[in-house]
Amino acid sequence: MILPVIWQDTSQGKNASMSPTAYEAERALRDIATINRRAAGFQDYQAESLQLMLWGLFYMIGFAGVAAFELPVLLWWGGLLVVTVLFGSRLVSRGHPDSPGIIGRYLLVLAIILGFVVLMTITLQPLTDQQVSLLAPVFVSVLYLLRGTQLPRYLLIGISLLLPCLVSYWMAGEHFWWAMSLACGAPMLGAGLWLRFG
Amino acid sequence: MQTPDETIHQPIRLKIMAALNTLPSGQWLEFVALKRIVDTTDGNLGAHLGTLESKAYIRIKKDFLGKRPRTRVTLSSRGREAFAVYVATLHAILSPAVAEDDEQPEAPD
Repeated sequence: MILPVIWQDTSQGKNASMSPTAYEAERALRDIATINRRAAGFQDYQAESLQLMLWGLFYMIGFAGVAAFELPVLLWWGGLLVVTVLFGSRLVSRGHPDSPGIIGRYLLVLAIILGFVVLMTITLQPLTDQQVSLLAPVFVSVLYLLRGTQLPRYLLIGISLLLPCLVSYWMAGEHFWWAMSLACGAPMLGAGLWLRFG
Repeated sequence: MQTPDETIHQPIRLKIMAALNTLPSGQWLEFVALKRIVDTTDGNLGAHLGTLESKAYIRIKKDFLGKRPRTRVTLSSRGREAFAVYVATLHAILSPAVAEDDEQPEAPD
């Protein structure tokens, strides 16, 4: 309930002569701020949900491909990455037709994540394939944790991505790639569905 | 004392206006999305949208996305103006109260 009952019927002429109190005004302003936050969060969640589902599929297919077949890793991930980025860009441009430069910003975000992985791989070498494969999911989950300080759902998404990935790394052993397919792909897919429909 | 715009000064309509006001000018919000933000029923939201549309505060567009019917809503420039005035009125109501609070002498220890 936003305002005291006396203010609900003023449009129908009832209590029209009553003056609003400072309390009512303060409460209305507070409720406007609440709606502003909710609307911003909702729009953010809607935009994020498709990307989460897309990149969840990317990781699921990517790690499953590595686990199931003797694929040349760079070629496999590179090809998959190009397809996913093209598809993701299309989703972004369709979702924000009135936002000029949105594709550029989207690609910049992806370039930063990729740049981080490359930089860490070079700086910390030698790293095992398993360690390299953890860099992007861990970095992304930390980004979600940071965003979660503003929009709480992202906090849960960050945790649900980070913990299974780390558990897979510590405990999955020879099943690491299959485990990562689930640990990384499933939470992102689930999170995307949660943001869209939850 | 100033009186807030009676059309906006109702819980659901206030939520609708506040939600639409967060969008950039000319951007539309789908009915289902608005319903989730405002947290009300289809019928209730529809009725209040009708009230706001009759005052030309919002515009409603009905079309199809593929085969799916879609209703979208946007804030008109008049509505944006009215909402700004409404918020300013709320602040104006508050400012004398704030001033009075400031003038209150401190209670002795």
